[in-house]
Amino acid sequence: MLRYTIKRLLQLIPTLLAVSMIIFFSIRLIPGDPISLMYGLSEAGGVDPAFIEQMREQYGLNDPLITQYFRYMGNIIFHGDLGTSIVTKKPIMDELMNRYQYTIVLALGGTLFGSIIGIAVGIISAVFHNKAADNFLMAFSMIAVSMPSFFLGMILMLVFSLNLGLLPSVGMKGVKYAILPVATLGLYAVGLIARTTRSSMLDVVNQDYIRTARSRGVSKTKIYLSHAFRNALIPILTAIGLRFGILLVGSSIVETVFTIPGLGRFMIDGISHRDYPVIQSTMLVFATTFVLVNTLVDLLYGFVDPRVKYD
Amino acid sequence: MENTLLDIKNLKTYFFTEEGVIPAVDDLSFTLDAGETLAIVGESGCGKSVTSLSILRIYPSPPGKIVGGEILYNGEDLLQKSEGEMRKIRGNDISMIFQEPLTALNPVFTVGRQIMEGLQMHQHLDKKQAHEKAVELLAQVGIPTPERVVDEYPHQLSGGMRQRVMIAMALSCEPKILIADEPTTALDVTIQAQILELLVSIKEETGTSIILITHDLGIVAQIAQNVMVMYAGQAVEYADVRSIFKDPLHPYTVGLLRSVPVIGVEQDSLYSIKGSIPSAKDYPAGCRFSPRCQDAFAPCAGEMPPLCTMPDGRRVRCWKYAEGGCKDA
Amino acid sequence: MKKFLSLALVLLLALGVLAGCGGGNDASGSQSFGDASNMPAPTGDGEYKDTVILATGSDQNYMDGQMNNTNDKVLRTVYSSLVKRDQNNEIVGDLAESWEISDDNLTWTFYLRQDVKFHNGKQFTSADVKASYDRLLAEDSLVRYASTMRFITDVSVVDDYTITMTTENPSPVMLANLCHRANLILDADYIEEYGLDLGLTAESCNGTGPYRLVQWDKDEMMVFEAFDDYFEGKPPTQNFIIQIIPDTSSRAMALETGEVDIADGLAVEDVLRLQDVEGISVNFYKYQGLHGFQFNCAHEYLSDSRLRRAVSHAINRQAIIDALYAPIGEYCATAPVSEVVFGYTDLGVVPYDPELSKQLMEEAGYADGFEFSILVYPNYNQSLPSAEMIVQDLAAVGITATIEIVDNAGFNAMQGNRTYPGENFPWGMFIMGYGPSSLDADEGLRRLWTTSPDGNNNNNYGWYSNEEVDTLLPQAQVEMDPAKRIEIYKRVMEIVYLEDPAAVFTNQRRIIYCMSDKVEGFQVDMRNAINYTTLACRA
Repeated sequence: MLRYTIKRLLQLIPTLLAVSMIIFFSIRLIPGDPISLMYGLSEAGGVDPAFIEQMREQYGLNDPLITQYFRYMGNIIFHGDLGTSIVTKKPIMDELMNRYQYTIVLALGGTLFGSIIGIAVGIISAVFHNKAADNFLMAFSMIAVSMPSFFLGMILMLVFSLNLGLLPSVGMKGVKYAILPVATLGLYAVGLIARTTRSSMLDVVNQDYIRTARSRGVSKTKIYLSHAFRNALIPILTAIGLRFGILLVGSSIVETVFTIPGLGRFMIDGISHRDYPVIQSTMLVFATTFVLVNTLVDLLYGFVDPRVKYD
Repeated sequence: MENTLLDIKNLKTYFFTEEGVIPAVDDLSFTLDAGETLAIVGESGCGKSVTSLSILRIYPSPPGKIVGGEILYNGEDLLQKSEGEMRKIRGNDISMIFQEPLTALNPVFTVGRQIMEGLQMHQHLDKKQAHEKAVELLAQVGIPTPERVVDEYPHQLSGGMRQRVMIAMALSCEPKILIADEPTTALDVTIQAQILELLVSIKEETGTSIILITHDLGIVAQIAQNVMVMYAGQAVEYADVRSIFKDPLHPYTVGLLRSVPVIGVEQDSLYSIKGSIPSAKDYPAGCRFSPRCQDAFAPCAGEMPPLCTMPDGRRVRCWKYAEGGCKDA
Repeated sequence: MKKFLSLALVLLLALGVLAGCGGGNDASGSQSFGDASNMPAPTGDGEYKDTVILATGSDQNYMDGQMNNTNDKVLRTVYSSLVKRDQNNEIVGDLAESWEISDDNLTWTFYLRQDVKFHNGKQFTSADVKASYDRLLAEDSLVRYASTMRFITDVSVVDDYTITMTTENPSPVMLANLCHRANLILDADYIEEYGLDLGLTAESCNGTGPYRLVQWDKDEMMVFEAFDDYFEGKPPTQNFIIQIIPDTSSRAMALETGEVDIADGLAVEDVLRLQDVEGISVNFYKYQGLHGFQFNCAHEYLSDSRLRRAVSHAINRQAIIDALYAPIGEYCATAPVSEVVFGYTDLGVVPYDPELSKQLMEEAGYADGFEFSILVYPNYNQSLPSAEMIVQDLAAVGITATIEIVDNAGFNAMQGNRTYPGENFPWGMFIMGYGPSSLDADEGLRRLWTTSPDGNNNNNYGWYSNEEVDTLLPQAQVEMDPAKRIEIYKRVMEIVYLEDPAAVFTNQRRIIYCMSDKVEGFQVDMRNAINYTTLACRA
């Protein structure tokens, strides 16, 4: 198992290298560059083009792309330096350290919230399948999935912040602030996870070993929650692992709506400013997080399903 | 008849599907005495499995429903019992083992845990006691190194071992009746023999009654006392094992026996009963076997023959033997 | 049956959602919009909050007037300049107590206040003024607004509190231009220490203004503390926070829940809605800004003045205003500069005359029409819907216009890096705003529409070139008689606006601030610079 773990972790390296390359080159395809943005056009007046050239030189933006790429990756690999923001001139690592926690809280919180409620909803649906409760819960899940998260966030904000005055809508200064954003992300996940849980449970409940358990007098509750659920968990875990990636990126939207100083917004602001180092590094962090979480989920299978062999 | 454990009267289990109603078990009656081994024989689809599931009331319930009859266990009608009361009987008084041991065992629980569950539930043993008992049971069913196997998972065991585990599970609470639904069909021949031996020795040691469901006449001869032949949801012949083999009465039984190849006898081709089992909507008004029956004559297609008791105690459902009407037994 | 029920449930919910969303874009409200007069300073009776929070959509790129190109809303918390505009738009002294001009109109002498301290306690002197202007005006100066103030040829220290400035030619716009943000005075020591990085962090800011910047989380918030020794007296509110809330709906929500006290840049729907919300007041102010679509005069077709006139007359400006801008109190432009700019003359709305357009097209040889594309970037004052209306108007006279959308950065990219007219610029028109922060037509016209010697004036984004304009504008630049200046500018505007159009000027913009009605002393001038010395909020 240790060997398998190490092997999987080593596989991260080519994946992340490929990702970094794709990010690096594709953002430079978008028109606009950070220097002309900072110093160029505005209602108030433009700057001497010679100055702009000089700034571009200073940031190495005139070097061939390959050189820039190797310089960037070299800094990361050998110095652990994620680069410096062209706009703020501050090291990106510091900014990342400050902001990463908010995004992780959102993504993990949303996943947890979504998983717990989603699994519960899915099990209830499966137990009462084709009855009123099932139809209602599945319709609700479908709505939760189809609703765009910024819309859902605004509705929650409207009800809980404005009309009821219970929860704040801006910032992340304490636990109270996290409730609405996590719920927004989580409800989306609920929709996805509930449906997966339901179908997985229904699948499992028709298996022979469930019939065996019944023939031995095991109660229906125990059959659903213990015998069936343990088996249904495997595809559910896969679903959760994949959803985490969606939630991680979806946190950008929630961070915008709820004005949370997380990584997602940092990346979006970076894109508006065309701040290449910021965009590259934050995307890389997102990609790494996603890949790590998926690896973790893979490893988790071994604990849930004894049939999984590691080789 | 003081020893009658199980008395099934006119059992009707129907399946209500979108294609129509299927009378999977259609007016079935038989008894089981203490210590008796009854084999229920027939081709797939004849209703033998549904019969066993009906006894424990674990047939798939949205389509299936018991619409008539009684199942008397020790004089009490199981069909009148609540779910909670049934749960006390399942795995406890009446146990069942199934055909496919790999899928019939939960892949994510250890073998020991699955055995212990019944012991903890029905016999209220604590974890330690249950664990010890589980090891004992595994030894009893002939599993070597039971202390190790008890913590293993089903996929780590061979087919024969798994079936032994199932048997251990089924016997753990010392049931009065063991229903074995095609216990050897999925196993290869040498293992089959071992399992059968095991069942025989259990029967002898514990006196458990066994209902053995099978389509394989070969194993019937080795273990059963009585045989009930089913066709299209009905019993068509009921006799002791010797009579069935020596002198089968119903044409279907005759056909079944002829289909079994005999070792040492040269045959150019295997005999098989002509035609195939009809689906429920094609059942004739009369004897359901009549379309395939070589001996069919005037009344067969139009009128359903009753299950008649012969002078020697056997029962047959066939116009050939039902002269002058007979009483249902 | 069950499937039908779930379907019905979903449809019902969808309809409910749609119903809730609808009605937002009905921009034809008929409220009246007086200009908000600037609020009087707070009386001080009763309880006041110790923190006022203003929510806005984007952060400042530099807290340094010489480099900042975001807006002028925030800089004057921290900095002051020699002169400033008061709430009646008059130019009054700020760091300078008084001034005089030499007989030849070339040298200005400023007498500085002697009671001014920087936030770090240092005494303000003429050395700081000199250092600031040296940085701004040096030959190799790299700051953004160097060229704006280059008409000043010399800045000299007379003594610690007296400084002279010399201009090349008599400059009627001297004082107006001195109000430009580039003239915000920096600390000489900080200039030396931080160089061009001054103004990127809270630590690098040291000014003489009413507030001190104590914390700056980029793109999140700025926290200011009242400066006890501010030379006009400590401002009434101890803490001032600028909260960046990029999403306009969230910003409106934060105002309604009371999490912020003031919000600007809200979407039209929210502005209209908030007028009816209790506890919130929506204030409209006059603004130096005009909005329009500028011509690319190097374009294949639009280089012909007649075709530009054809486009200009084909557009029904009033209809666009009525549809999109009237509800927020904006109205048709009547000149190529805002009505609050010195030099403005009311030239009326450019006539909507499709027949004339067709005539002009025929004259130019394009009776069958021609095509070009319009570059916009969204979220800029409804640029996209107005562009769409323009496309329709043009189609009616046979001109096929298409719209191209880029984001802010992309738009910037299109505009930069050109060495000859028309390089890398295939579009015929592009969205643009016009707002001289000196509130003088010199900045509003000369900077934008003169042809530079190399044919590529940095601010002349559309490569506009007209001989008469090129002759007139430098004249006005040195004409000291205001009446004569107005005459000259009137002629220039007739050319740029009607005869040889440089752009289609659409609407006269307004500044809109939504705030809790407990806010007092909110004063903003026509450049959208807030007066921080009077801002307070009742508890």
